[in-house]
Amino acid sequence: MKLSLRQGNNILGAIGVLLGTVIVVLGYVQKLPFVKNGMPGPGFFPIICGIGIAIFSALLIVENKSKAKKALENQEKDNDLEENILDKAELKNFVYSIGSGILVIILAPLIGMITSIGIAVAIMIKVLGEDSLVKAIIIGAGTSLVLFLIFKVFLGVPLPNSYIGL
Amino acid sequence: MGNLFENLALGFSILQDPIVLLYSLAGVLAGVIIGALPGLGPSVGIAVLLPLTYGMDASSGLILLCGIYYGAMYGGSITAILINTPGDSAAIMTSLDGYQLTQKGQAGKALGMAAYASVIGGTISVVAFMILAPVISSYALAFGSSEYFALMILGLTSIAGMTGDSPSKGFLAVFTGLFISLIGLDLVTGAQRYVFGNVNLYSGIDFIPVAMGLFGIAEIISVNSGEDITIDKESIRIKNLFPNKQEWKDCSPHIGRGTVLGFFTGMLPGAGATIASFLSYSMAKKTSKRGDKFGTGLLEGVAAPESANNAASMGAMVPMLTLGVPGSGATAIMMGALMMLGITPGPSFFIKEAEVAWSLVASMYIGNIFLLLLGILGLPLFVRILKIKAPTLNAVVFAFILIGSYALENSLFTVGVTIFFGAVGYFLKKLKVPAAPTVLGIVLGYLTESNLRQALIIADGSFFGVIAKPITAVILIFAVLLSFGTPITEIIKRRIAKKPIVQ
Amino acid sequence: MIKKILTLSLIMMLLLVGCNSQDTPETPNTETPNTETPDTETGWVPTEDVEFIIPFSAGGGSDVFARKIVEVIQRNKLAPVNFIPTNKPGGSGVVGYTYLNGRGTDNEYVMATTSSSFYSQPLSGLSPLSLNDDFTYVSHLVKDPSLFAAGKHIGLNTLEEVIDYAKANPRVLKYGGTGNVSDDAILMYMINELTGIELVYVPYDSGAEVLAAVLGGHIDVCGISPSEGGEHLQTGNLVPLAVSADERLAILPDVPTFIESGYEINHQQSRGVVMNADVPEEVTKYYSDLFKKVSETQEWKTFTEENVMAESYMDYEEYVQFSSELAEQYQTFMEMIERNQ
Repeated sequence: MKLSLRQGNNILGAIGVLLGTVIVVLGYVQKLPFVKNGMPGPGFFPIICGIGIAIFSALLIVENKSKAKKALENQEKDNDLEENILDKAELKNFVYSIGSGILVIILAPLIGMITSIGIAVAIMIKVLGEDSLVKAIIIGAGTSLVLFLIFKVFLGVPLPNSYIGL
Repeated sequence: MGNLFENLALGFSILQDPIVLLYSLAGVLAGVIIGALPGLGPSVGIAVLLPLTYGMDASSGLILLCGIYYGAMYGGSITAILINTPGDSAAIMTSLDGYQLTQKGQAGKALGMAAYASVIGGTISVVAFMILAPVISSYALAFGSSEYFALMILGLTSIAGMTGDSPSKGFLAVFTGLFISLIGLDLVTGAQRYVFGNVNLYSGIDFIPVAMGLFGIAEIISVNSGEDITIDKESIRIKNLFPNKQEWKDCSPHIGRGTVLGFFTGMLPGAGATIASFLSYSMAKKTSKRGDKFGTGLLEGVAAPESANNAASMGAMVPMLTLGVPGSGATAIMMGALMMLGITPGPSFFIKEAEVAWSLVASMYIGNIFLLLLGILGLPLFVRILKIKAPTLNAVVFAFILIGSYALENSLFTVGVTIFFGAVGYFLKKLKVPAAPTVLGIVLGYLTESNLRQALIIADGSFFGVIAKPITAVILIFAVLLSFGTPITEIIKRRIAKKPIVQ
Repeated sequence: MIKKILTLSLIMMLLLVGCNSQDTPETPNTETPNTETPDTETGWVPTEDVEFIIPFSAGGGSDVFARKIVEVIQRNKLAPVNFIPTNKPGGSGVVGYTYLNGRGTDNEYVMATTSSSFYSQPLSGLSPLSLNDDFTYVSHLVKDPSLFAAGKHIGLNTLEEVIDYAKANPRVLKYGGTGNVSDDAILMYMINELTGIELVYVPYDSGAEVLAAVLGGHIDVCGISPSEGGEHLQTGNLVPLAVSADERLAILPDVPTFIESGYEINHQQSRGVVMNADVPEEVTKYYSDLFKKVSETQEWKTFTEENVMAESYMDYEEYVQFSSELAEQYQTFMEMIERNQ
């Protein structure tokens, strides 16, 4: 899969303009007054930020175009803008890390935060690393133990309740 | 002056008790550990260990809590430098150059300088605290909403140093950060802003989970599995941990300036260590000969914010103890603890509670020494963390980030926020959008707006009334000069350069 | 060698700090089915640790209040189980109460503190919970009076002087308070309505900021709780004008109450304890009696005195009644605030 930085910039710019517009629109939808009693109201700064986001995203697209044009004109060999920003290994990283994180949030109320984090750690090590399943589970369990000691015993932080009290 | 030494002697005499000494050490140690844990900063550390102080006498309790405070200021830098996951908001600036140094194999030097800067900043501040605290409280009060507004604007100008190659990306990041900080219930009218009925968003989005996601998780995802960070063995031998002459020469002015800036910023109840570290970093960048190299791994970029944040923690104690006005979240909790222990801080704190006050001052000196020892001796230990293989290290750090973000408010929602910004942060990183301006926006956005609106109400709606005050005007003019000063001087230089040719 | 010393000292430190912990936190056990003992002569007693929710962050008024209760219970061994204070901040208390409400199981072992936001949030439409249906009222413990004070710099020293000045100069005096539907705001709007003056409200995020602003001369008057004013009230930096309470405060014997001065203002912040709905009466009664014992200890009396709170214990039956009266009052307050904004 290839996505060049230049293309990425354009996509980001487009998303930014969209986001900025949505913010301004939502500001009106929520009936946040722009000005109240002659002073900036609750809607003033958020809408300005929305406008700012939209403007700079548009500028980004313009900046992007001009940089690409310059690079083409100068016939630069190592053009940063054409660098591929997608990396298969990193995307795998991404899916499994974020995925485990979401898994923890779902599982924590059921089997306890510490246990679900232990599982997440084991998953990440097994899938993203080169260690065996056994080693992954050991490290996962070890992490759980350390977290338990630090947060439950040492710091006494109450962790989300679950059916097994962890 | 004689009185000062008498009081100090009184303070040190209390510290001769080994148990009290142990509390100081325990506080500093606990602070460093907690500060290092991603997401947990001094506020959480103090809040969580507060119950321990219930059985103690006031002196020991205060000494313990204070130790945690400045211990955490240093502790946050450890993970910021080693794994680009700032332990707390005050360490974010440290990670900019600190992590780059680690990638260059110079983690030891970075950690060492962080320790030195923290301790030097802390110790000088203790002296300042000792001499100034009884008399300087009026300074802290001179800042009202309009002055804070000006200070926040000054803080925002430091974005100029963070944009990197693409200004539009930098500004895009800042405005996004600013917007995020405004989500929540409006202070002035109570209106729901972009909350859509979600109770968890009423108090807005805290920037610590966002920072952990943008920096920490994004980093975890993007470190290519299999690649280990190599440590230059030389850089962790104790001999080499002492910065060499050249490094001292480069860094000392920044440490000095950072300390002064940090202490006085920390004293202001509305500002704190985070803002102090931003300002210090951006001032260091402007005043250093190698300013444009900041962000690529410069020791100065570590020294400046680290000295500032430790100095700021000392500064924050001043209004808390002498006025009963806490200078930051962490000091607010400390004050609660003091009141539970039966002590009411206030103008006569140093006189009525002389024992508690001066034993605290004495403990700060000793505590900073402990901090230095811990930092230097612990260094080989800290650095060993990097030897762990990447996937394992990433997974374990991820675990700490998850639980850290939970512990902030005992809420799974916060964990969700962290993960969300981790995902977003990864893409932003790939697209080379700098993360620091976003955090800058989040930290300063809400404060800038609320101070401005408060100031406007006080000035009956007149913006001129807000800025026409001495301190406010000075700070704002300074901010304008900082932002536009360089371009203007460039233009002037060019004009001057052109003249001889014309003649 | 150094590493060994380090690791050893690390372990020592952890042990020291860990062992020193007065209330050793234990895992709140959530095993179902619950282990309630059948109704015996002695009635119900808890057999598991109790989660004591504080809907605000550490260090604040609710936090200090809650932790003191826990401390008194444990010091005097008033209960056979531990009480674990748990901060659940967010949404001015709404997050904490929603958490309390959403528990489902073991309702007998979780409770929360109340303060004014307990009433103001649902009544301003910001909470999905119903004061009537979603809570069991256990005990009322203290009333936190409000103090109307002025900064030294305005040169006005009594309530009358301030009112006269304000009448002649409407919208000139700036009044600082925390938040916008808080007791501070309520106090100001009540003062405005009942005295006919126009003070302008300046909202801040915390009592500390209000204090700093008035001491620094940035605002003129404020509404705070007397304990927040601390020493400044005695030194004259902060001039107490009138107190919203049943009677004069012991620490400020020369400061009249609003009622004495001829204005029907007596709004105080109530602090008590509630539990989820669906809690059997014997359980409520147990805790109600427990808090009665707490309020009768010497430590509690000292605490309330030092923090300038009016001791005001009410058991679960009285509290329900009082609470619904309070809710009505807050309803009128919310309407008053709406009128004025």
